[in-house]
Amino acid sequence: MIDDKNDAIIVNGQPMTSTNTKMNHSVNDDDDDILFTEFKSIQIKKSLQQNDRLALKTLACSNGGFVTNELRVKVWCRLANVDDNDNVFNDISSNIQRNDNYRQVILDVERSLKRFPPSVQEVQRIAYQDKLTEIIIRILDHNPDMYYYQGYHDVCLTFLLVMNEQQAFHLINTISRSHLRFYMERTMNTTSNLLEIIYLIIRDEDNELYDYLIRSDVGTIFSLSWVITWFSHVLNDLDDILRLFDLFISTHYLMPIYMTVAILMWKKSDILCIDCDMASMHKFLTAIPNDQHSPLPIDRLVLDTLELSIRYPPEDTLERQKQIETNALNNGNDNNHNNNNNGGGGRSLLRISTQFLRGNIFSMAFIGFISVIVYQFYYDHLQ
Amino acid sequence: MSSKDDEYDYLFKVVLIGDSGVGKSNLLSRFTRNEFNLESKSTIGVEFATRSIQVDNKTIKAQIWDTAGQERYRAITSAYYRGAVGALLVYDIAKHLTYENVERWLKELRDHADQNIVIMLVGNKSDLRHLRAVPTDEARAFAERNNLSFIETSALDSTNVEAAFQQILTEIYRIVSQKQIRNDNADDQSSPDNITPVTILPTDNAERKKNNCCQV
Repeated sequence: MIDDKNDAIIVNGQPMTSTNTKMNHSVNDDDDDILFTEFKSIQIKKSLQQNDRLALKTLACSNGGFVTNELRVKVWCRLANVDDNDNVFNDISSNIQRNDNYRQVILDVERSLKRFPPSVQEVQRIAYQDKLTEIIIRILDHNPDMYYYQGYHDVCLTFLLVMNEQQAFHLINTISRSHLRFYMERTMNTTSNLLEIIYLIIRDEDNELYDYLIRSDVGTIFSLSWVITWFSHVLNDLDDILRLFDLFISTHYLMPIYMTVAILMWKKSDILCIDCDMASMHKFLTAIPNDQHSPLPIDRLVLDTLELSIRYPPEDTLERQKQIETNALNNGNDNNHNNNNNGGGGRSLLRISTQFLRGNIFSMAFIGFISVIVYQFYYDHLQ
Repeated sequence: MSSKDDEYDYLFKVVLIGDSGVGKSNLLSRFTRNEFNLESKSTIGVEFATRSIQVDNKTIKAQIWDTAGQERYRAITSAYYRGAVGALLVYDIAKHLTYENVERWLKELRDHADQNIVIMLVGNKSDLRHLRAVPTDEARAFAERNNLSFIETSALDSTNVEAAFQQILTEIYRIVSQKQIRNDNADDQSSPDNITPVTILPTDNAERKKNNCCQV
């Protein structure tokens, strides 16, 4: 259910006006932008009315995404099946300071000042930050199997900036379980493994770029803050971030990783000119999202990302990555076995002897069993 | 596209570690760009910046890696201790817990960094005099017991930031240059009895190498 009353964003009684999403399409004329926004808005409203989820997801991928904040709140809630009537938010006990993550959350929320648009006054900002802390802690209380990570606050703040706290709580709760759950495990192991998919795809997509990045030894950590915050920690423009959220909410949870590949491909010629060492490459790559001189063409990159996801379907890619992990694990175990065999000769000899004896006891028992049957057969029929 | 500030005699990699919110990123920006940002964001993963200083007429380029403070990131960030010749272990003088956790950070270094890494304990936010929770003498005594150098800094008002980096880089330089003298003496077959034996190596020596792989 979408509640129209919740469209205005009210903090301390003051509504924050939502801005139209910036268009990145090829025609830059203002009139065309307005026409395009109106045209797309009509399509989005129609799809909402008809509850056509497929059409909505398709609209997320074309230029401008869900175009206005009013519309995207409605569509996000619809796509995530968020029910505003659910009172979980009010029901949870309110002593947020007792949560183990409280200190870390406060530290990160306090350092989120840069995320607020200049139009937000200080009083409003503080109110937002208080609400943000409360939402995060309540979600963690509500999901004891999920763990807070620095950067989760950036994702949550993005939602809170365009909707009321009730909607934000339900939507973040749903998205956390559907799209962010691997990043919220107890350790970062799964996250690290998922980031390796970047290289899995680039290797097939562009061998030259793959070789160069591998040779630089830059690894995947440059993309960590891109992927786990859906780029909200690294992009400067809130409209760009919201437009990416349109895509990520509507599609598979691997899409931020595909987007990372699309960005690397987009920057290929620049990357090949960077000194081929880890430090230089790390520095160049981490600076890409907020490069003022060469802003990323978001709509174009969304299309590239989609193309990649068609060429390398996410579920197949996950299967391939899992296979690679299993092989690596087996190789590791084999090596461990070898090491153990080399290192503890006496113990391994004992183990082999035991295995041999155990195997032979069964063999001898089997031979004995067969002998008894043969003897019985001979005795019964030939005597 | 590449940075060209590459006339240096030594390149030393230094890591900034310590609990979340102690001011590691601002120490880095104060030293490398003379900036303090009240609006600085949490560090997710690792970031780095460089600055060159002069010691004994040698140009030393410091490559300083700033790491995320939250515990769950340690498994990822500890890979970046590899090759580091120095570590600034930072705590917040106004938050006792960040000082208590110094032991755990030392263990991280013991487990993942080179055993000869030069470590400096840094009590940051010394401008917060009225909120001080860690007495200077206590921290200094702890540093002495653990063979660490010690300094208190304020990235906000610049106090001792320059001194902290100068001190640790100079210390690394002394060790590295002694090592080189020792090697030279060994080459000359002479006995280096008066030289402290060290095994620390510079991250990169003065070859000003450029692996320019540009293919376009």
